[in-house]
Amino acid sequence: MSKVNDYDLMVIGGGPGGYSAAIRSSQLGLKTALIEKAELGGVCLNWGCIPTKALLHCAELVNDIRSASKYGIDVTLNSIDIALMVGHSRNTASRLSSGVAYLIKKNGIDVIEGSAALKEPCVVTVSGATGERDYRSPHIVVATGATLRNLPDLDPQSPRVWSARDAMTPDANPGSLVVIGAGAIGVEFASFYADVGASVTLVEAADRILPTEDPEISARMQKALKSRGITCHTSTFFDSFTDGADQGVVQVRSGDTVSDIACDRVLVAVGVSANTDGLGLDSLGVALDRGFIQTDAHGATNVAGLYAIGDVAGAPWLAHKAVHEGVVCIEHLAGVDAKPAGERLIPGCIYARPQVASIGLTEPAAREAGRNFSVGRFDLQANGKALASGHGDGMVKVILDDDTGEILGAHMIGYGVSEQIQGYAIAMGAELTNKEFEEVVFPHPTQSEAMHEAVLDAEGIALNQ
Amino acid sequence: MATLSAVVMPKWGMEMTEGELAEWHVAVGDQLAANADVVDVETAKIVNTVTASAAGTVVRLCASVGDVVPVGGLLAVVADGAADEAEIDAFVGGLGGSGAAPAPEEAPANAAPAPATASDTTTAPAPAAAPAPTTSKLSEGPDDSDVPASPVARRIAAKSGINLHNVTASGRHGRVSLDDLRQAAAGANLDLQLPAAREFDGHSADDSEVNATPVARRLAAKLGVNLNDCRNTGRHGRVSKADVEAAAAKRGTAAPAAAPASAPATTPSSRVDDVSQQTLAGARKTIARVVAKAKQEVPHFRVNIDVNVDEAMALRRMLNARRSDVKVSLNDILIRACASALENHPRLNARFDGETLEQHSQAHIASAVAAENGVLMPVLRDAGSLGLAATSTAMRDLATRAKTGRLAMDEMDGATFSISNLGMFGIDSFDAIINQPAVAILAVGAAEQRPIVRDGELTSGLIMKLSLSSDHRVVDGADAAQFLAELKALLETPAMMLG
Ligand SMILES: Cc1cc2nc3c(=O)[nH]c(=O)nc-3n(C[C@H](O)[C@H](O)[C@H](O)COP(=O)(O)OP(=O)(O)OC[C@H]3O[C@@H](n4cnc5c(N)ncnc54)[C@H](O)[C@@H]3O)c2cc1C
Repeated sequence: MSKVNDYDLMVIGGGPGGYSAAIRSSQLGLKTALIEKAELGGVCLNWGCIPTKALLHCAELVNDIRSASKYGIDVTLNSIDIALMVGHSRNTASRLSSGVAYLIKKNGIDVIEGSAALKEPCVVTVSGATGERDYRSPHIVVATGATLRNLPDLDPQSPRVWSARDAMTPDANPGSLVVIGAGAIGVEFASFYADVGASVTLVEAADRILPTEDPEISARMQKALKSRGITCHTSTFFDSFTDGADQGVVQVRSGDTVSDIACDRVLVAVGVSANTDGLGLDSLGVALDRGFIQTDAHGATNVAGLYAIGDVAGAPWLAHKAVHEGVVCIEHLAGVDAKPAGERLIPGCIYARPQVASIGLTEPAAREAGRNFSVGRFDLQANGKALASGHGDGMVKVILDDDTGEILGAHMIGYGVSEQIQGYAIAMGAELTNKEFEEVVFPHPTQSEAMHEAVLDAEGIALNQ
Repeated sequence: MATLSAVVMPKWGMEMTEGELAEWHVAVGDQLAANADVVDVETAKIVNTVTASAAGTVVRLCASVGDVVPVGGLLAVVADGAADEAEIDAFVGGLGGSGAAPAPEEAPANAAPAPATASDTTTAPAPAAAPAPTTSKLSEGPDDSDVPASPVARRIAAKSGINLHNVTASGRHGRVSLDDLRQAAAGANLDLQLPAAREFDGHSADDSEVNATPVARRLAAKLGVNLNDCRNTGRHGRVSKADVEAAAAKRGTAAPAAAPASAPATTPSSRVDDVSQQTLAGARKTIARVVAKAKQEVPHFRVNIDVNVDEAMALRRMLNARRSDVKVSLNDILIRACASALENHPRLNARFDGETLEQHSQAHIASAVAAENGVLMPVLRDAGSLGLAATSTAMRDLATRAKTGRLAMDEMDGATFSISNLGMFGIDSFDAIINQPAVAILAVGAAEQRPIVRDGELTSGLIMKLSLSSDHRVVDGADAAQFLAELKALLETPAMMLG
């Protein structure tokens, strides 16, 4: 017997991927509902991108104040109240979360509060405060996100063992912190806690920190962190953690060498696993790939009317990737011509001090792909604006295809580079060659001039180095 | 001899009967890839761009900016090779002489003939050896690169030695259009340097004017790929890097020595991405008009039948249990069964406009989809060619795109049969109004457990009531009865659909 659909489209999960998908769906004329069991805005707004950036802004200020005397400004940093920093971070998160609620309402989307599970294709059961209810919809989009993994040896109940959430809401400054995993999240927390006065050790299993970045960027970052007093152990594996009354001890192993690192807190940031528990994916036979939902280029899974986008659908685990996947998925099923998200270049940024921003191929990846390429570099030591503002530590590196002039990759480290990488993103997305890029006039003096010079350098014609 | 093809005024949505030319994107002599933008057209509701259905050279423009051309009216002629004027005249004449092409199937029968614009707006090709642009008072003035102008107007102005400052702009967004140039040139007694019709010579053709991304252009040069041979899937019809790579890959697999055929690539279907832009308010208005007209004009008669759908439901359960990639509904099975039954009952698979009866060999089945402001009737083309799984997937897609207003022309129109199912609302049975010009519509009620007598025993079964409304002018009672009987048989023994 046919039954009436409750909605044309339902989204499970109100993170950046899910809420953007719901808005696009409603814009296109579909009757849409968004199911969320916790806060609108997901990890990104509430427990990820935004609150960490709020904390890192505080750290930036701390550092500016500490270095002000270099410029003849006589200020003393009397004290740091972490609780107030956390207050700023939480306020920002809740303000944005209510902003999402407003957007959802403005777009005529129903929010259903509760935990969703798929009952059968096109039927979802939501358990909320008021009980359980089935909803029917020909299209169901799973956008349930991912969770930072814990390590089996670490007891999450121990007050010394921090999750990312704990690290975002500390009540006091930990005297010493060990961060396991030197990816974006690990490095950002390391950077924050070092700036507010903790002694920080980074432990990374790969042979360099930020292992997915270009090796030159990793090396520059490691040097910068070291100069700030952060200890980086690479090719080093976490063995065990022993809780103690005064301190805990993290045991690590590098080759045959085992060593102990005493600390007040240990934070794990070694990767994420998909939030698929209890969703009922098994009984529907949804295909997974290492725990993440497998989809085609437009987010469709192997099950009729079921789609997956964002963190739950695999790497890269970035909010802007989630948003694009969400929009593409909706546009495709609604009949709008949309370039698959997978074919769009996704920049990645790390908001530590210094910042890292990158897009496209790293140098080793370009080599592996058999490309004929040149590398251009420009050091911020030769950039007037960077020096004038005391941010001369950094560089820009570009990988240029010799055959077509295509910019294959761009890698930046330095102050504020997260705000600049979109210049390369636009050029690469529009398939500009180095020629068109060189013809773009960059304003002087700006740090972005280094982006221009790096492209010139790939041809050996940089003007300022 | 060249093959000529017509670019005609498309029909964007149910209510469109005519459109006004807003701006040409091409001039005579321009080479077009398939899907290239030809001309912007404004209707009461939208501004949209008409694209070329086939690649080739523009050999004639048959209307001017500002002309109002009926749906199906001729806008331009495209040739895939050298075409002389006589040939083109004959082609245009063959289409109706006045510049009106025969209305496409979807165009309403009452479309007015196009105004006789062909002869007076046709752009004559320039003489073979074009005289150097003569300087005139139109050529004076400061740098005109900042004067807003359409790309075509700018190119031709440059060739003709006209400074755009001297031309009154009346195009869209205050741009100088090709027509403005003509006006100015006529006023100054100056001949415009319009490009002569060129031969379309495929692979060796100059591709410098093909719209491509910079990377695509460089890559094409490196790989020796002509941009004319690439698809243009990039934004705004630009050839992208992927298009060049695809063309190179295709060439790589072709026999290396043999010169590939020079026929321009045509897209498999000429109905490309015709986007419906109708607003729901407008749709509601149309529904009102259409339904009233059908009810008044068409002598409806109805036949009803009860169908036991236990077997069909079992089939549905079995399929859905075995396959997660489809979710078949009873409605999908019904559509499939109708497609099978219609094959044997062509009298019900037909369209009738009061004069001409069209019987179809393929069943194009429209299904009523409830949307916020009215009913939409998306059409499943050639439903008989689809299996149950494909029917189910296609119906989900059609219903969704009907709601987002993204149906292609032939998905909005051209139904040869219709189904309206209100079973999900618990409706037992009802009568539906024929979706003209199709000649019959099936009204489907809810399947419910009811007492039935089987082999003299009273038992129960899942019964669905079907009611078929037919147009008595062309369908007789026996036709309708036989069709319903076959439909019942198929639904009660679904395995018969495999036969
Ligand atoms: C510390 C940290 C810092 C980060 N910094 C950045 C950064 O700077 N830039 C960046 O791009 N990315 C960053 N990320 C990653 C970013 O947060 C994620 O990529 C992004 O949130 C993914 O969005 P999403 O919509 O896929 O899922 P999420 O944001 O995870 O949202 C999923 C939502 O689904 C809900 N949900 C889950 N299961 C159910 C269910 N069964 N029923 C109902 N609701 C459910 C959850 O409550 C949640 O609200 C960071 C992550 C962390 C942890």
